[in-house]
Amino acid sequence: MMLEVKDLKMYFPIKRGLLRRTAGYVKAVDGVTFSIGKGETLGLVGESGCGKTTVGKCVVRLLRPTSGSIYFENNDISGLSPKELREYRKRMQIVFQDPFGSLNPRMTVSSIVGEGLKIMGQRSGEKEVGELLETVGLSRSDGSRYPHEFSGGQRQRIGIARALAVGPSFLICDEPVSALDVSIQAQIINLLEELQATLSLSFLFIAHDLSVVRHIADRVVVMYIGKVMEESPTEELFAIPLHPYTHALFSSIPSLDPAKRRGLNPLPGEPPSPADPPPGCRFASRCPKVTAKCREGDIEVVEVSKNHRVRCILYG
Amino acid sequence: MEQVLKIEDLRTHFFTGEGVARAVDGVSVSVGKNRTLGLVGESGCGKSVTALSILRLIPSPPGKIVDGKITLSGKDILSLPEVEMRDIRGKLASMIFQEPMTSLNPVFTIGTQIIEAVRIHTDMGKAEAREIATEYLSKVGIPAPAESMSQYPHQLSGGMKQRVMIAMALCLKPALLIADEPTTALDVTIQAGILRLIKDLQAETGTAVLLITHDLGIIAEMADEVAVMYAGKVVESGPCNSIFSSFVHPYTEGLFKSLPSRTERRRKLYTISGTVPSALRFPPGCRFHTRCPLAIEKCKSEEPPLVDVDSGHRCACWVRAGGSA
Repeated sequence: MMLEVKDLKMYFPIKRGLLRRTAGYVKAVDGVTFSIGKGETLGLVGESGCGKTTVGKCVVRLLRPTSGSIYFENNDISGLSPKELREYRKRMQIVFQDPFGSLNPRMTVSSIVGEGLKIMGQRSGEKEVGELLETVGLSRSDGSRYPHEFSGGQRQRIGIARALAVGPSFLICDEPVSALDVSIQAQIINLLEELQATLSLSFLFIAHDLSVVRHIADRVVVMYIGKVMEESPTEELFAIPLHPYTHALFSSIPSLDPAKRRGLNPLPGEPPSPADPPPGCRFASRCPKVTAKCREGDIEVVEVSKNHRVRCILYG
Repeated sequence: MEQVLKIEDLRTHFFTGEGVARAVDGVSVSVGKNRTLGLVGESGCGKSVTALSILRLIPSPPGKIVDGKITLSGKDILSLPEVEMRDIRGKLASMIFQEPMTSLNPVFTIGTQIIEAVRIHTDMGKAEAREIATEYLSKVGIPAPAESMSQYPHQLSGGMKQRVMIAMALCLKPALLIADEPTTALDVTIQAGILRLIKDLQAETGTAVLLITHDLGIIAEMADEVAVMYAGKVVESGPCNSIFSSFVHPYTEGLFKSLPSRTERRRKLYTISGTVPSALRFPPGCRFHTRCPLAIEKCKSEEPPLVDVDSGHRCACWVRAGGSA
């Protein structure tokens, strides 16, 4: 196993009043469990505020989780100090969504890409950086230019080169293509898949765009308000989605054929606040199949078929 | 059919320190009553500038509508004095933007903002305007509309704010609704609700809709006609079904083929090579020739005209749409 996350919780305190007393917690991630094998791509999907980015940040330990464990290559890294983490950061890196905000505008591309190498005490000369730039489809001469001289797609390539610099085996891609135009999206997705094959990388691919996830992921985890609702191999999930939320997500996507317009069936209501989630199933307030039992207590995860798990009483 | 909006050979240029950006360069489209025109293209293709030109909201300087004609409900928009434009905006044509977060004024309640919009354009009294505002808030699905009137924008979610924007845009029953990426900032389950709402209200009022988006799925769901823009020009246009089932232009083809959902899982995705050229330096001839896999010598020097390839389906391409014209 590349990565095993067990019962991960990340609560952010809400501070109120003069003394900044803790008035409650935003339970951004509330007991999430999943694993990723070597060379595998796990897709993490859900709508804004479901906690998918927080999961990513906990895994690379940009955040210290409230509880739970994160085994990276069989070592628990959830409680390590920043100094101890440095060794792990060589092996896991993150690519961010915003190719405009995540690159320092005052640094040249070479220094952005070379910085990681320098920090890790590796050679960061022109040769090493040039090779990295070529790996991601840029040219060596691009190293002396600044981020603003590049388009969104090219900037995302720079972000990927920076992540690859220290030679990671695991990459977290947090919405890596959602800020890009369709024709550029395809280029970046192809690049990520090529890199995965040549460098045998494992991916945690966080996205809200289901068609992109369907294309790239081997397995998919669907989150809703801090909890995993369904987990399944990709093809099975898209063929037989079980959870009513997964159903709703899929049927909200417009089909690409005007001759087969189904008319959109929007979900009623809005997601509840993660600061004050309702008891029982968190999707109950919007679920078309809700029963009284759904609101009673925590719903357990059920394994319906091999590797296909769902958190819903309909299958309990 | 009665055309609510007719744009003919519109050219909107920006005169910048670095040169002239020909953001919109000879665009002709039209939308009929109760119809939806989908304007598709990637960022920088000129779709938003086209929309802003209709309402004459182009910042000037540096922008200027240098040529063309825009007719809205029989009125020649480009020849009207600015004072009369105020009457047009909001009443004859209104617009909803991509970011509902920044389109509402944070220091006024949503009720105040809708009532203001109603009263500017009509001679209604406050009470009457309040009634209209409440009616439309309930139409767009805001829970407890009368109470919501006294809420401030920050108290609403993104989807709810977009509903308020739609209520404000439609409460005066405009002939034309311009929706510029109305759901791009929203989640899919919320997006479905907003799109459905626009459709339902259109059925009720017969408003013509100009829908601008980069998402082909939304176009497939909503549009009657489609115009595909690239580098300031319409490269292909026609009935929605015809564009989706038999696109002709290599750029349209590239857009469709690069969608992940159309290919087998894990199969390498089709890509359009290169990037969108800057509006300051559009290539001569066909503007797509630098990225086009089919480009021939002629494409580099001569601009292809939009010609009919099927009834109502037009395409501008020397290779695919004949070189006779």
